[in-house]
Formats: sequence, C-alpha cells, structure tokens
Amino acid sequence: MGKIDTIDTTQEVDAIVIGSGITGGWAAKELSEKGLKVLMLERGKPLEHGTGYVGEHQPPWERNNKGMRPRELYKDEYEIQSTSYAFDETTRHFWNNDAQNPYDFNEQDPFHWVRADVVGGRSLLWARQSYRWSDLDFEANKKEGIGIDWPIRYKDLAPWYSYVEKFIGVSGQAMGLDHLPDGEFQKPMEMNVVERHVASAIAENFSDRVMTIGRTATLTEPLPGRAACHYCGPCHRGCSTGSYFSSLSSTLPAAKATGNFDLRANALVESLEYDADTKRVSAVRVIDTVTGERSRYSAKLIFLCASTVGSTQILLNSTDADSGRSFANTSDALGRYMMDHTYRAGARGIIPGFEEYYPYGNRPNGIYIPRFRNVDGDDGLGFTRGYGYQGSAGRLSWDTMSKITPGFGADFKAGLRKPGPWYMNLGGFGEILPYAHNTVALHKSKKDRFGIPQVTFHFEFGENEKRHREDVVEQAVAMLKAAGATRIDPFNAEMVGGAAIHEMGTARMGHDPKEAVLNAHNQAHAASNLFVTDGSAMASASCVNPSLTYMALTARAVDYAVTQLQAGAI
Amino acid sequence: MQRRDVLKSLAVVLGGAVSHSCSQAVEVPAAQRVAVAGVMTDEQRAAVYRCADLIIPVTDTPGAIDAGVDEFLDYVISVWYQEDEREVFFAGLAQMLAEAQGAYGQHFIALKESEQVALLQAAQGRELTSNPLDFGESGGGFFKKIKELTVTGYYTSKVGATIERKYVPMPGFYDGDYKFSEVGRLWAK
Repeated sequence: MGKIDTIDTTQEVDAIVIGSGITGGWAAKELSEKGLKVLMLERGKPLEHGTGYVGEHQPPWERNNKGMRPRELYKDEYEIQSTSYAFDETTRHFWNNDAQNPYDFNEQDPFHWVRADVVGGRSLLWARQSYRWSDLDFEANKKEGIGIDWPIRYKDLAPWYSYVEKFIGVSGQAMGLDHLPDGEFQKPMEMNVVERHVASAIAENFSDRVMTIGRTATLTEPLPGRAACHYCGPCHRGCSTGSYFSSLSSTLPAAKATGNFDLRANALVESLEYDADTKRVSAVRVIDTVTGERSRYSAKLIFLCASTVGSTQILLNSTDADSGRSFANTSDALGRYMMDHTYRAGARGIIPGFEEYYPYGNRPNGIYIPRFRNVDGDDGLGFTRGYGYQGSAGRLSWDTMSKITPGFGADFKAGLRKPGPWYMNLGGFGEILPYAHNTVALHKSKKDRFGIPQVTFHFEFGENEKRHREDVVEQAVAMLKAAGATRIDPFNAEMVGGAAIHEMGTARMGHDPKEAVLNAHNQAHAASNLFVTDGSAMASASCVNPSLTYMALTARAVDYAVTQLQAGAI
Repeated sequence: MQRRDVLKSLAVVLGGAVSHSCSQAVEVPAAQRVAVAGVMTDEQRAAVYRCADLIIPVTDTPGAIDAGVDEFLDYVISVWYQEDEREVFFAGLAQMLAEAQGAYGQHFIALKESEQVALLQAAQGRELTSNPLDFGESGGGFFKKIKELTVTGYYTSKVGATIERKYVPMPGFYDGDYKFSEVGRLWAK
C-alpha cells in the first residue's frame, strides 16, 4: 500500500476513494474495473453484506426493549439521527453517534446532518427513489440568472444514467416526459386500487399532471447476485438478497471481484495535502478511529466521495499554512450554496370506499407526481422552478384505530381486526435555490475527539421556498378533493435544513475557477488529480431525488479521469 | 363517542397515525428516576393485569395476558416509564382501586367482571377528550395509558402478530387489489 511517513512517496496505490457510500462505491467499481489499484478509506465501522444486517426480518416480538424506543439513549447519543424515519433499534448500528461525532448544532439555526457510520454509508439507508434530471434542470440557473450555469447538459449525462441504471436496477414506468426522462427500467411495481383511483381522478381533472408509480432502485427482476424484491417492507434494515441497490450489495462486490480493491474501515480522513507547484493533492491524512494512529497515503488519483458535508469538511480543513485558506477554495464557493429539498408539506385525506381491498405484501415504494409547475415557461405563480409529490395510499391499522376507537373488551378487539379506512398521502419535494448565505463552515473553536474542527451550519429558506410550499399544500388538497377524499388534512411543517437528507452544493461545478470548485468533470479546478463526485458538486438542486445523478456523475468522472491519466494529462 | 365523530378531524386521525404518545413525554435524566425494583405491589400488579385482560379479553383468539402482555406492562411501567408518567399511572390506578373499595367494599381483583368493567369505564369517562389522540404531556391518564400499553403489547406480541393478525415475513410479491376476505384480519410484518 501507499502508506507513507515521509515525503519520499512510493505510489503503490493508483487511486484512493474516500467514502464507501453511494458514490464512493461507484468510484471504486469503475476505477478497479479499469485496472487501477484502489484503496477505499471509510471513516465508519466495518460491516458485511448480509451478516451485518442484524435487524433484517426481525419479527415484532423480538425487538430490543420490547419494541419501545430507548428514549434517553436516543436523546443523549442520537439526537439528530433519531429524527429520521429509518432510525430505530433495527437500524441503529448503521448510524452516526451524535455524542461521539458531534457537530455544532444550535436550536436557533438548526440543521440536521443525517449520516451513517458504517461501510456502505447512507447507501444502506437511502429511500431508493431514482429520477433523471433533464435540461429543464440543467438550464435553469443560466436562464434565470440564479447561481452559476451548469457546465454540463442532459446529453452529457444521459449515457451515464443508462450505464448506472442498468447496473443498479431501477424499476419504473416509462412516461415519455421531456422533463423527467425515462430510464432503463425494469418492470414497474404496481399502484394499489386506491392509488389508481386517485391517479385517474388527477388525469381527468388536471391536464398538466400525471401520477405514476415511483421509480426505485429496488429490483422487480433479478440481476447477477441479486434477487428480485420479496416485499418484506423495511429496506433500511439491510437486504441480504441485495434486492435494493447499496454499495455493500452491488458496487463493492464488483470492485472486490477485480482483485484491484482494498478497503480500510475506521479510517477517518482529516485533510488533504496539496502541492502548489504541481497543483496536485500529494497525500491524504488519515486517523484510525480505533487506535488514534495517524497515517498518510498518496495516489495518482483521489476520489473524494465522503458525502456533501463530509467532503466539504475535508476540503475546508485542507488549508495552506500561510494563507490559512483551503487550496480548493479558489472561488469562495467552497462551503456555500448549500441546498436541500423542501419536505413535509402536502396533504392527507380519507378515501371512502374500497373496503373490500387490503393490499398483500409491503411495497417499498410509493407514487410519484412529476413536477408540473413552470415547466413550459413561468406560470406566474410567484415562484420559480417546482416540486414533485411522493406518497401512497394505505389503510389505517390497529395503532391508529385503537386510539380513535373508544371502549375496550371483546367488541373493541373484534373491531380492530378489520383495517380502518383508506387514506392517501401526498408530500411535496421542492427545489431549494442556491443561496451564498447557506453554508457549512469549520467552527472556530469546537473540535471533535481527534482535534478536527467541527462543522457548523447556517441555513435559511427563502421566499421562493415558502411560496412553492404554499402551492404544494393547495394543489395536494385540490387533487385529493378531485379524488373524492374526505377529512382532508393539509400539512406544512416547520422547515429544517437537511431534513430531506438531500443536502448538496457546497463544492459546486462550474466552468470558471473563480466561481466554482469543480469543473465539468467533477475535477477540482485547483488540483488535477482530485475529483469530488458526491452531492457537494451540485450547482442546483432540481426537485427530484439526487442519488441517481450523483452516481452518473461519478461514473462519468472516473471515465474522464482514467482517460486523462493514461494520456499523461494528470 | 361514535367513530365517525372521532374521524371528523383528520388532523387528529392521521397526524397521530405514526406517533406514539409514549415517545412524546418530557425527558428526565436517568439519575433522577426511581429505582426499578418494587415499583408495583402485588395487588397493584394483579389489578393492572386484570385491566389488560378486560381491554383485550380472550375471545376466539388469546387475550392480553395469554399473549405475554403482563411482561410488557412490567417492563414499561417499571423500567421504561419516566417518573412523571409513572405518577400519573399510579394516581389513576389508586383512584380506581379506591372506587372499588368505596362502591363494593372489596379489592378490584375480587370483584365480578361486570363490576370491574364498570370501574374501568368510569376511569375511561374521566379521560374523555374532544380529541382522542390528545394524550397530553405525560401520555394521558391511567386509562389511556393502560389501554395504549395493552394494545401495543398485544399486537406486537407473537400471539398478536401471528394469531390475532396474519404474519407474513416474506410475502414474495405485492398485490394492490388483494381482497380483505382472503385474509380476514390485519397483516403483521
């Protein structure tokens, strides 16, 4: 390996990949398949595919603490992580311990940094929704004069979307929409009887919108080494049949199969060393989180895939001794323009009837209503860009029905044996614009247990986000009304940055080194051998779930990097 | 109260659909909690178990205690509850036990079932609110607590999941048009 203690380096490693999540896995697979010797550094604990999923298929009567959430533990050690829907005793071993690895959190300016702490990262925990961007997204900044222009267009990424989709397996329905391009789909999952009813009502009453089944990286047809979904339900506990895409189930095994791949867990990257003369990253500084031992590695190529906040923290902490400034920050954009998606606005309603139906199986997927606002020009609604809806229909069960059913005894028990009424839920995911004042920065004094400066956040929602959320709620109500819903419950919860877990944008791509951290190939303007391919690269946020785009950008960046390396340009 | 009245406000119904009133209680550090042992006297414990079987009785399927809800109640009340929740629980229980003595001159557990039901109904009556999902800061009074704990303990038990409900850990496929008549009971997963 390329572990070095002196400046006299011997580059035995061709490429270092920092982070083992959804983009790190792709970087490792692509680099190792192209013949490069790859070392992956992951700050989290080791975890094995299959045997590491200790909560998988755990029946309800075998839960820790008799199924009750250990409140004090969560408050003391998982205060941020436990806000996630996917956090409980069946998944806790995947997540960051907020007491052990804290960041500067304050109630006045809250930001939820949701993070894993195992090999595989958040690819284990993601919600798997997979949508392509379109030129409606890539051209928006330039057309509107917001942020900076994307240095790429849809045609640059389209073949890489196809390449990624074929490997990860995306099930979905082709729709022929220009602004939500179809992909290489496996057969779609099915909408249930009430979802189809709502979809029909929307189609009949709203000419501008359509409801479809979600496009998800969960297999409906087998792929090599991975089985089709068995519909047990809670994917985030891990899937030993590999039926949803994670780096543990898919890209890391592919990388291992090349014989060119090595993984070091518990390896926290502190910073990158930079050689200003050659304009290259000369070494990666690593701390062993178990022993505290420090080491340095070097390589021809560095792929920084530590997640938006993780990668930005590493870059910010890679400072020049004289200027005190990060070598990567030629633009002042590093750490700025943090985006997420707006979330937790929408409406729910009871759909009367259909009481003879009660779906079988636990579909790990919902419905999708693609963006319909400002698609063909400005709709004049007082906001720019748009949002899409996700949701599902289901029947209320004992947990709710027991609370709203008075009484007790034999009749009460018999009543609970039947499911309650159908409900339909529509929740909007809206595009947040890139604002310079939405930042992640290094705290001036707070440090972690290894002496690394903690990150601190500032995150505000703008008028555009507030306005589109009002429309999210109004339109959800209108669509539910059209579907005959009763007792409609609009919701518009308090917004918290990071809560959608789509944080992105703090090391954005752009043509001009004075405006952007990365170029059109995710290559750092300041360092030819450094590529950053996670969410930090994003120059805008679209309103669709971002992971598929991160994966496509990563595969594309590796192709470019290796070509350049072989040509002697790196 | 009729179910349709209760369902009037969907904010009430669906807003609470996934939240556990238990989890909303104010946090108190462990050091301030009472010791675990000896939280309940034998008589209190017997009355609590009896209430659980009145709430989910034996019918064509086992009742709460046969399903092991007694162990669940012991755990939650003795270990998991915070002191404020425990105080509310035992205050309400004490009131019901006192009413048993006052009305019938006997301990609750010695009474006829119809008398026990009447006392538990009276406890329910003291906690009726316009919003049935309003459990308050300490998760409701004695009745709401014992009812919620019994129901939660029962439906998540092996009996509740596999006999009262139908447990299908590996469904294998999804059918969005499946008929309730094919299963006749709730799914467990």
